[in-house]
Amino acid sequence: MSTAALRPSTGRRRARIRWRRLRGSPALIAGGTILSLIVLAVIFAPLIAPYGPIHQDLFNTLSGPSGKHLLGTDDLGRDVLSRLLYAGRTDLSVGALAVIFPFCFGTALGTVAGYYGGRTDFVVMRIVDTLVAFPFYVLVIALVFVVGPGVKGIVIAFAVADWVVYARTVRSATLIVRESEYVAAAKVGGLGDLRILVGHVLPNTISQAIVYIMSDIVLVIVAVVTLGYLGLGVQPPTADWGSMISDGQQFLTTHWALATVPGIAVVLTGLSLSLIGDGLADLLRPQ
Amino acid sequence: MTADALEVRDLVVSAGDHHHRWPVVDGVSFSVAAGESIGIVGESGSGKSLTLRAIMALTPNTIRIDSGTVLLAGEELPLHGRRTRSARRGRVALVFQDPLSALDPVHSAGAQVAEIARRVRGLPRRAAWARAVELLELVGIREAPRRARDYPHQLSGGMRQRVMIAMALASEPEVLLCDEPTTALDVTVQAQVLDLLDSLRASLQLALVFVSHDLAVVRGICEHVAVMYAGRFVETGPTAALLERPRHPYTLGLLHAVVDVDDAGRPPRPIPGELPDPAQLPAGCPFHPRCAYADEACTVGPVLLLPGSEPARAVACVHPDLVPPP
Amino acid sequence: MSASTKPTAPTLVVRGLSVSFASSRGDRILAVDGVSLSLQSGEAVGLVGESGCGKTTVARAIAGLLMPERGEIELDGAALTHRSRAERRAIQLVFQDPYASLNPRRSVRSVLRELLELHELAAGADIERRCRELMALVGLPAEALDRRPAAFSGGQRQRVAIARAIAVEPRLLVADEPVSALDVSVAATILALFARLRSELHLGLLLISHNLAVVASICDRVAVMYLGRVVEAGRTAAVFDDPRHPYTRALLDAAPRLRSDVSDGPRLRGEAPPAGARPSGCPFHDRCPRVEEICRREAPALRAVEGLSGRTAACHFSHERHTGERP
Repeated sequence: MSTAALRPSTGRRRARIRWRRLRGSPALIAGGTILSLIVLAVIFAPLIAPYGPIHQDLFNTLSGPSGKHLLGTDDLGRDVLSRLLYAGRTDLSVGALAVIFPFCFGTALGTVAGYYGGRTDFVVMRIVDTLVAFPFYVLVIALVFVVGPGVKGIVIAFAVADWVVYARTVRSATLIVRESEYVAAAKVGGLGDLRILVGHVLPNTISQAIVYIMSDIVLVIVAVVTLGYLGLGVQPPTADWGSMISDGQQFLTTHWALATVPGIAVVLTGLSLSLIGDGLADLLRPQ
Repeated sequence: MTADALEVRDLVVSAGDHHHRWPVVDGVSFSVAAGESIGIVGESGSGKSLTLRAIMALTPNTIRIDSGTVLLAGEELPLHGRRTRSARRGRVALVFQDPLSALDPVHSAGAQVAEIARRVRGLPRRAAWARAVELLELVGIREAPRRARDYPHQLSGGMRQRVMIAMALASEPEVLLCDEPTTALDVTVQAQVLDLLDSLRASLQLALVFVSHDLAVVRGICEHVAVMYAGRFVETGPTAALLERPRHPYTLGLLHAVVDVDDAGRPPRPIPGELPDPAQLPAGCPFHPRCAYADEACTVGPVLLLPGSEPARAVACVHPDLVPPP
Repeated sequence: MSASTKPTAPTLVVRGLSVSFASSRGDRILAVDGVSLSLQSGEAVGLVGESGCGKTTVARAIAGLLMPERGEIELDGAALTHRSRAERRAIQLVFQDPYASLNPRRSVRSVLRELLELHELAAGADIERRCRELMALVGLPAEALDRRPAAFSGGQRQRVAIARAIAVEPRLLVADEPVSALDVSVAATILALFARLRSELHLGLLLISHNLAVVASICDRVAVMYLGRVVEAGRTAAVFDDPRHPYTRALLDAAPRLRSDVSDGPRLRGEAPPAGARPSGCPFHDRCPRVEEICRREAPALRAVEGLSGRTAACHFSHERHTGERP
């Protein structure tokens, strides 16, 4: 019996196809580049930063950009550039940390609700509806207030408030995938529910959630910055973009760089993450 | 002698992008007189649906009509530009394969037929509705005045297809193009719709072009047939004679591969090899890699569609005499 | 694969199978109404009918995807209710749409591997060897193992689906419209593959199709369904040559043929009513050319046809030859 010829595709051609798809997504490239630069900069902060984040040069407070301080100093004599880099470390790591739990918890709950339907779905969706009824920031601020400001408070607040979007997204995708014939085939093949959920359902439902992570990290970073601005975020003297903006606010008319430079850092980070999210959305669409 | 209702000459349609284009319809010619029917039979990638779309100038963006002529009662139709739609209005109509997606779900059946009567034939609103009911009756929908108010989702598959045919007739065309109109239907409903098309062809003297993958269906409704492979006609002729004694190896292969109700207990005999990728056709005859009778001469192209020894038959084969009876 | 001695008892016995669904209005609709059939191993039985007759539901119930409301499904004499993993192996399903029946994100190898490991059919280096064997059995090159469904054509995908089904070494393959979505020449290769697997692996085959011709080509026996019931059954050639139910006759008359002209007989009018609106008495009586008073009152049971062995029909007039005309 003749064997059917496949569309030719050696490993090299497959790699080329993948590279072409990546290249065809300028969003992914642009976003990826910017984010990589930012991440590298903050990772190597201890090596790059000329000073420590809390090192004070009291004879040089509020100085503009100079040879010694490339971006100037703040009102306590701390080097803005160094603080910017260390603050980036704080904000990016808290941002990444704060989305992990919502992603995992929300995805799991959404999958279970979507797959089993019935009462499970009803209960989960009512919880989601309740949480969604609260304005997001009201909830986060209230939780941080209760738990206490700082990194711990932020992570817990997001864990409670942020998982619902993941749950909803994954649930809708699961409702569709649950009816697909390959899931039926897996059942007929004797696979148990857990194996089906992990091996057949999740790979096909999770892409939307992954794309959402990018937007979510932006959201978290902005929220951390906002909380910092409100004094509820990362506590001084630890550097964080939010408190840098808030501290620099009083000097807007005289030394505008103190508030705007960290602001630009937030914008760039958010922009790069959004671009990556767009690019990923295209890439993850099953061909 | 009056011109044929529809004549197509050397139609060439290509697909692809700026870097690389390839023909998907490669020099197709045929004609149909009023009251006659021709079937175009082929599989995926043969170009049969695109042929109809090209005649209607309704091709998707990536498809380009490169060259060719389409004549309606001797008058040439534009294949590009803004006048394509108006030139065909009221003269050529197309019946699609899947009535569920081709009918607008938010308008009633009667409204959709009436709209065509209004826009193409200029009937005023009341008269258009009456005409719509009349046409729905003509296509065999019982209780037409009531059913005309139904929406597509309330109608069965067979009825939806009849509504599509009524819409096509509302423009009072001379030529009716059908793209696999019964493929999605149950066999008893298919029989009803085929009967309907056949009787309309006779009573309205329509020129019918019927595209299908199903040889047996085409045998039932078309006097002439063209077998299409890789964008070109490989064999044409009167249907019954062609199926009884094909002259092209692909036609023979199809007859052996097709399952028929009369063949209980005979498993189908597959054609070796695979359908070719239109972007990468073999040199010479596109069928030669799969052909039991091919030799060196078959790899040198082009292999033209030439008249055969029997009347009204043509075949595009280097060795048509080698093809045995089925 | 081990050679098996031919069992004389049927492999699959379905008795009085009934399946209902909740309708949008809240009541229940009986999609399958008391269907019985049997199948020997190595035999191919066709189940034909038009849309809405319940044949796909029967297929899914037999494959264990649906719980029947009533009736039994027996494999080698043992009733199948809640199926264990080992019981699920025995009956596998091949679906209609090759573009929807494979997980787009899994490679062929990973899917086969998962099944082989789950049922402990191979371990270690054997798994790879078995995967290659399966590819060879369905006529695909070994490279196909690395690929994802997007790399395959419709016919190739269907072969992958068949490989998946036979990987667990089933006794019975249920194929639900396996070639309806394929080109003619591609369908021929898949049907030929089914025929080959049937004889090589001694598999039973239940082929569901709306296309009489497909069933005619490879099925030894056929059962015709209408509105959830079997209306006729018997050896394929015999049933198609001399149908004893008017619906079978109508199907045969409507089927287009290659070598003869379309039958001039009267056409069956209208379409089948939805399952929720099943007529009283014989479900076919409102469209039947042979209808009489008894048909409206009394639903005929599926009985042996007088004088013909191995034939059953659910018609009060099954002793007559049906020509489609009024008597």
